[in-house]
Amino acid sequence: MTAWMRRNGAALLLRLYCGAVLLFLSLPIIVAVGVAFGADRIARFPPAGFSLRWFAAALTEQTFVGALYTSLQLAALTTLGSLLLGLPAAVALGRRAFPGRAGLETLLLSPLTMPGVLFGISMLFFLGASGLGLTWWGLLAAHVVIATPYLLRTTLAVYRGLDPGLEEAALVLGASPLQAFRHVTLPLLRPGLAAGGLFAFLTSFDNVPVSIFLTTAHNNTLPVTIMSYLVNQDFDATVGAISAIQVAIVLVLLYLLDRIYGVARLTSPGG
Amino acid sequence: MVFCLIPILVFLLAFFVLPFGVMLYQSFYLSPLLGPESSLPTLANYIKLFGDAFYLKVVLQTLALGVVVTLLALIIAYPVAYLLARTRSRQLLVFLIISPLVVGIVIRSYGWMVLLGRAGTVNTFLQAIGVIEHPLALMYNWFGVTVALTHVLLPYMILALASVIEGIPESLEDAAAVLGAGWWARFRHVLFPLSLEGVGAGVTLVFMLAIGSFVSVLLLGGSDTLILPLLIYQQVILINNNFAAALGVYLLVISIALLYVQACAFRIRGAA
Repeated sequence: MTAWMRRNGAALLLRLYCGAVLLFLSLPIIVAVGVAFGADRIARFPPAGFSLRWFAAALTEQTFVGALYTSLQLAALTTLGSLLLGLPAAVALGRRAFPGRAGLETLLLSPLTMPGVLFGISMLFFLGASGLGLTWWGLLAAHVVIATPYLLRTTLAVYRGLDPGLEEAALVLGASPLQAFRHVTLPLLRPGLAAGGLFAFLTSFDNVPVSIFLTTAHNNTLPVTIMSYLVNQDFDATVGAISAIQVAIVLVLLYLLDRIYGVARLTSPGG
Repeated sequence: MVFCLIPILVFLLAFFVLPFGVMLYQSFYLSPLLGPESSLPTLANYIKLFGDAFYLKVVLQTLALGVVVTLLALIIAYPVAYLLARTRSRQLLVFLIISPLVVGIVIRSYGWMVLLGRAGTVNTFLQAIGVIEHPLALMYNWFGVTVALTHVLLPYMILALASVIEGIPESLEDAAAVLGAGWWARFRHVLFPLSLEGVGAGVTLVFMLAIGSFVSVLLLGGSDTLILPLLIYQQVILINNNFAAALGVYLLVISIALLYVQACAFRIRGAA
């Protein structure tokens, strides 16, 4: 065996191995979506027969439709909230260094590293103790806390990658700081805001560990609703269909995110 | 400019820092349902927590699961991270690695339940090809929990490792190869030592997430797969909120200690 063959053999082996791992990663998603297309009421994979009737069943089931609506609404408002809090913070932290900036940044990003269950129960106790109670607004506040760091991180990364000369040029040419921000910086920040906003949406839309402690029968989110079916070991194909709908929404958003910003950048340590 | 930080700071103070304060506070009280003596602060929750071998067992199980899942994720992820870091056309690869992260734990757990159930895909397949006669118990036990949790956390490990491997010049590997190092020697003496920072970051992140996760454990675990986050959830369901708060403080302290150890390890490496 020549060195060349050995090298390519190893490369091929590495590729095969990675293919297997990627299959492992996507397998449960393929299965969860696949069962929705079966003809049987019992969820099995590969599905027996082909049918779309579980989608019709899921979309006429009030529990699911209501939960889907709650989740979409919650995710949209979470995105708005994270924009309102994250954009000013990114602008303040982006350029000029000041004492304690690094520490402040760590604090603002710390909800990312906090186990969801801990924040979920803390928020539950807090809403109880403060008399605010388990309302939709409490759920929204909790989602904004966990989603804002993503927006802050992507916006900061884009802001720090910009040429400071552009802003300075606008200022030299007579623009007020506000005008420079409005007409130069803000348009350039758009990819970071869009990517961060999409990620904030996805974070809220998928969340279970926090939501499960804060939802009530009136405002159950979609993942929490699906979860309660699974806990009762009720895997019927309607659950598969509503899961498939959630997966479809999420993958379309992820695709958009990729087009706008590049998912590879989103996950890099600085990004 | 600094005034722009006021909204986010006020918000996080009210809805992030304060809730943790409430948890800490409640952990020093007993349930108000118990009567008038519960209005005085007490260590009773912590005495119960540290005085009972059952809770010690739960904590040890939590840490053991964290260690097993982290090691599995590290071993499985490393080659993938290497390929990801060394490939030019990484768009599709990254998409496939990220998509499980955003699809959500509940749906992935649903997939595993269909795969690993008694009459699930894996058992049906193994019976059809005659490897086994009776279905294996693949979920509602530690096996199911380990598989599902490794699956959930693998992307984090791949990304943490890849971001560091990317920064290691390929020429170092080539040099080692020219000097006669085989793939194992190149990995052992060149790649792995240089990627230790990524290994440290990935291991810490995955371990933290593993000991804090409960959705996969709740769905794919059984009666014996009790870990700290699941115990907390159960205590909340049973409305033992004050004891749940003490358990929460315990988990929080373990998590912060871990982050601190990691930060110190990096500082030592940075100074050397």
